[in-house]
Amino acid sequence: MPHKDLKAPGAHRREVLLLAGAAGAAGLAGCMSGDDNGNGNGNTSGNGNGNGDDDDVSDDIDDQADVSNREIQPNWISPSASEAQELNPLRINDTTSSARLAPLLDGPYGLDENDEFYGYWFEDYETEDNQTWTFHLRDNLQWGGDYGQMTTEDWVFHVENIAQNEDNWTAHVNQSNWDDVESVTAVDDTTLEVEIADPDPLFVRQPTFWGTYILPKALVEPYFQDYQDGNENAGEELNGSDAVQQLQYTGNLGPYTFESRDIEDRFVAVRNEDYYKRGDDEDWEDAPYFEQYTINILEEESTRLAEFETGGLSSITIPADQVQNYQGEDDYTIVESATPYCSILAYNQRANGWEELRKREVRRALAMAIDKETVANDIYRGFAKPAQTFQPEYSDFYNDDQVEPVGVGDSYNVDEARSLLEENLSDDYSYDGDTLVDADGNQVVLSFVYSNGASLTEDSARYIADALGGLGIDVDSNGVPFNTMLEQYAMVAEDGEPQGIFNDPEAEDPQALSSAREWDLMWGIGFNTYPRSPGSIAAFWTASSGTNFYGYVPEEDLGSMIQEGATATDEEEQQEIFAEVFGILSRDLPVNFIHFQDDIYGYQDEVVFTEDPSPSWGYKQYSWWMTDDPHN
Amino acid sequence: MSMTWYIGRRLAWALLASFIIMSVTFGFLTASPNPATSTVAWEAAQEGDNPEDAIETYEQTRGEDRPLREQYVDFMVSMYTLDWGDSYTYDTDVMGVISNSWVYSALVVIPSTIIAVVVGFAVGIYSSTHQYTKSDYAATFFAFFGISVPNFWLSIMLILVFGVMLQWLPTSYSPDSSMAFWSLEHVKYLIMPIFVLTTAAVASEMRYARAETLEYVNAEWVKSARAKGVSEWRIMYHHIFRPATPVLITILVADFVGIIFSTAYIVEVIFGIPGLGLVSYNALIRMDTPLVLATTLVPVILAILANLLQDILYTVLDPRISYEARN
Repeated sequence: MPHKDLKAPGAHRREVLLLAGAAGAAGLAGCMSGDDNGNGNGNTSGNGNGNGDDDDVSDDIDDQADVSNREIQPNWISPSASEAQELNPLRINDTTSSARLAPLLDGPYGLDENDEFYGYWFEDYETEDNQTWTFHLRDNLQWGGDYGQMTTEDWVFHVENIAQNEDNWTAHVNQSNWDDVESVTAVDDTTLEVEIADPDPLFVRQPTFWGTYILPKALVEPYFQDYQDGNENAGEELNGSDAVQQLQYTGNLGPYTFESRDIEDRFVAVRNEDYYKRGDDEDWEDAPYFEQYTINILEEESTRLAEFETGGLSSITIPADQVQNYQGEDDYTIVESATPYCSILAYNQRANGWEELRKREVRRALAMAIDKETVANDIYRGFAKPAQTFQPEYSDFYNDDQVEPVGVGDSYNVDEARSLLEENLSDDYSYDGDTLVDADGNQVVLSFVYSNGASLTEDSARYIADALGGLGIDVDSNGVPFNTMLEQYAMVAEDGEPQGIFNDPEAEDPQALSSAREWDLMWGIGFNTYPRSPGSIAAFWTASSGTNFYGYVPEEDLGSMIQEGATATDEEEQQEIFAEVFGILSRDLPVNFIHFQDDIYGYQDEVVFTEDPSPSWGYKQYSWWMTDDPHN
Repeated sequence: MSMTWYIGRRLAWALLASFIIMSVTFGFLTASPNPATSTVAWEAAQEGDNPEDAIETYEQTRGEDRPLREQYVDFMVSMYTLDWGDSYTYDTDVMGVISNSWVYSALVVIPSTIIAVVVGFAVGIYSSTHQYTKSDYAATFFAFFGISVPNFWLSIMLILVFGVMLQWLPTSYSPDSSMAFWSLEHVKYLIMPIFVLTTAAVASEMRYARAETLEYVNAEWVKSARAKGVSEWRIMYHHIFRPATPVLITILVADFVGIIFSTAYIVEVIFGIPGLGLVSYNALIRMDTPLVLATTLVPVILAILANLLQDILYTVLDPRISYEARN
């Protein structure tokens, strides 16, 4: 049995700072307070989006123990804060559920330290014109059960009959990922040709193939036939089949094989003896290096932390306000990973918000009164970075020269903010001493709604309310559950009834819309900024975009600019266009971009990582190993 | 009236009562907004999809696109024919979920109930017969502590002290799958949860037992028994405890159901025990209608049956009580 002293000198590094870790599935983007899996694995499904460089890496993982002594340990144990909502890969769009599939299915490919293609099922790819992409599938991929070899036919069937099926008979949740795919052709069993609508040099970074799981054609085809014969319930029957729910189809496509699932207790997978990637190179020589992979469901955060401290868990996600308990401790390795999720303070520019918020200068004045460094450094204990626009600074598409900062350094200035307000508010408003009053002489009251349930979000909400009080404004704060915030404050409402949409793309004037309840400021929402493929930001910053619950109407044609940037074939041109877009957003401030929060992972000291710190942290996690078993 | 007729009537009433409760539960569920709907719509909007379509697909997978009357009839029929269908959350049959989870609840609820009853009643009677002594004050202090201390706080303190600091006991319920069910090692995982559940329950049983038996401590028949030289143990059991038993049994039923479906939930969440309380709560949060209705039906039936048993026991324990009087 290997021991800790097998590690090379320098083995006791305990903190590793990373940038732009690969975040989880798209579902995370919605709620910055919510979906903490408690899982310390950086990249479970690969559906997230991040980018960056190593400039800020303050410490490095150099504790590479002697590989020749590498042994297979009994168990890797991760926590989960809740039970999986789905096990059907076609219906999963949350990190909790995808974490169950990740050890069983590698997916087509990942992105490495440099955001470059890292092959799993797909060995490599090529393109000449950024419009026709050819992917090469390995020839040693086997489905489980009687479903045979995974071939390109499986992919063609998936795209044509599931992902792009107009009726969406399987209730596939990520159909939009395939909107730009014109056709897929099986050239032979292992060669897949994909044609997309417009040239896109970043297509390989899009979540179309990356992070996509499929089901075998041989499994789905009979149900599809049933559906075509008129059985509308065929999709449900497929979902309820043992093959799907017992994960019988995963074969050798992932490092582990499903063993058991005890509801609200644990999910257990065992080492896959036929793992296709074993022996790829030295890191994967005998991978995976654990006999068992266990996910323990522990709802209570304090229980998860206690379990980690006593060696019951291999890894964990640590909240920013708890990290100090682990920093500097020899028993753990802490990894900090920046995320592409931007926390915003939304301004309601719709009919039921304060009409003055429609003025760019008023929005800027409010932003100037909030010190983003206080939020990032004091409330989030330094595990967040102030945001200036809808893109993190490490992004290739962020340009300092274009961005106009606010709320940091000199641009945090309450006196100047008051002057700006005085200059730009309509004649109905004025300062009476230190108090901002309306035409009737009453103090201006802004309704501030935020999502409750997460202490860091609540703390920062209190700070924001207090900071705006410095402008002489009375802030009426109201903490509500995240879903209530979405339904009652963000959704479009008619006669007080939420309509299920957050903006009406057909509306002549998006600012004429309103929600069920009145509000002026909203806090508790985080958006994915897509630094790897920023074309996706069209969903946020045009007058007709689906998430525009704040009623933003840009003066410039941002929609066309984003479209132009997304389809530009030259990377430099893309960068220029998007840098300009992000510059406009930093000046326009449709919302106040507050900060980018980091993910913080803790690992037992015995864990040896087989990858260097990078934005794609975790893309090789199933080749990580341990020098000893910390769970005994 | 015969006992059979009496039991028959009570069972018929149980069916009606459970029907009303289930209908009300269904009504509340359908009237409440489903939090998942807004999340589904929000995710779709962020990906550039139509949120209304996403909601429609979501409702379709749960059968909520059907008329409300049809849903209601389907659910009620399936509940009473014991075909409880599949849980939306776990994609597996509800019966399986319940039969799996009750074992975990039983692991902590049954021992803690037994300990609470035995210790609580014993200390309560002892307190009443030793009123205003130091031991009575100590027992009263313990009872108030047990009732007052929040279970979640006590659980976390126990985890910190005995799990993290002293490392005597496991911090959560996570026995290895290879561990024998009937083993000392397994018991170690249950000590803290049982202790927390017992602390609250024993205090309550003790206070009730003390108050109830105090009525009889100075009763004429107790004085007579003492005058005749009957032993204190016999007096305590036969002359004080037995007449107090019918009332104590009433408390016992309420306590038992309460422990399973309210107190145990907190303990199950904190210690990570996948029991019925936890499953039931999560089903409510996730608006998992089949599972909510089934987990509502189970305690309702349990409570009704326990009440029936209690009424029958009354007549055994106190022959003055007749069926006629209960109608």
